[in-house]
Amino acid sequence: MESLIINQTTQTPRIAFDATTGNGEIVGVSFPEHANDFYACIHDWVDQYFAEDASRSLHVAFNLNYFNTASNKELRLLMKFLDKHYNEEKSVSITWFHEVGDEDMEDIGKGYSVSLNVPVAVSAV
Amino acid sequence: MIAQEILQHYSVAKSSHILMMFKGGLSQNIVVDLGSLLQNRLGFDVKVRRMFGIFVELAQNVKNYSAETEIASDGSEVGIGILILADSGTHYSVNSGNLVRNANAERLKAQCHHLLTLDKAALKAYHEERIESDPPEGSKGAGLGLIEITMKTGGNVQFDFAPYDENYTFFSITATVEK
Repeated sequence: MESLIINQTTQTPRIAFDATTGNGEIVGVSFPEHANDFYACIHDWVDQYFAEDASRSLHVAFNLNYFNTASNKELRLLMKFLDKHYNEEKSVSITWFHEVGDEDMEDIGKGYSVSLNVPVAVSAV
Repeated sequence: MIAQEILQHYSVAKSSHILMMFKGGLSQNIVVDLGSLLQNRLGFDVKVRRMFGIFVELAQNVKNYSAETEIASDGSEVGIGILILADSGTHYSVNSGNLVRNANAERLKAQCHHLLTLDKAALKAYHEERIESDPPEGSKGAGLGLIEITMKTGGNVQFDFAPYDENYTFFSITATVEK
């Protein structure tokens, strides 16, 4: 299957999910007009990735320094979606990056590491 | 005469420490462009990002909910309003204003008043409840903007209403965050 690559814009993050290595990343800022449409492609890609081979592993890095409320909601849905795959015995792990001193972003990551089963490492950059 | 008029605008902008002001239709492209302008002026450190977050929510609020609309260059119908960003030295003040229908003003007032009665823990719980549920009817976003603004300012937000005419009320939001 093909990797998923979407270039960064002033309102949307770079999305890069590598089908060979199983590394995915979401990098930048996020405040698109229709956040749900924007993030739908990741759900589709991950479903297909595990449908082809359920023994594959996936690591997703979230490296965002700003997102709006509508994106926050979509990111939470994506987190829960990754958690669902993890709960179905898939090998999934997540790293949530935040800038040193950005407590809001750090707290969101820590919230996920507590509330989800999938391992979420919170890391300052 | 013209110079006198422009001078008045200039003097108000200067004495109010205005960094940026925009009045018009807020399409998504305009919101993005104003955001870029703001970043070019102020950078994008963690404190600017907090203010930027409030600015985007206010701008998208006007875009989605103003009762006064126009057709943007991309063909979409967008809300018209005013956005003012000011710098008091120690704080940023982010202001928005737009028309709402008189019929909706009371409900909006009650909603804003409710937010201001909540403490930090209650706001967080309310945010949690809203983010987990479907958006309210008629909402074009996640229905979270006003909650998030109240949280990010630590309650330093004023919702105000001024009579406009027999059909509309002018609704303003003033949010203040530390620099």
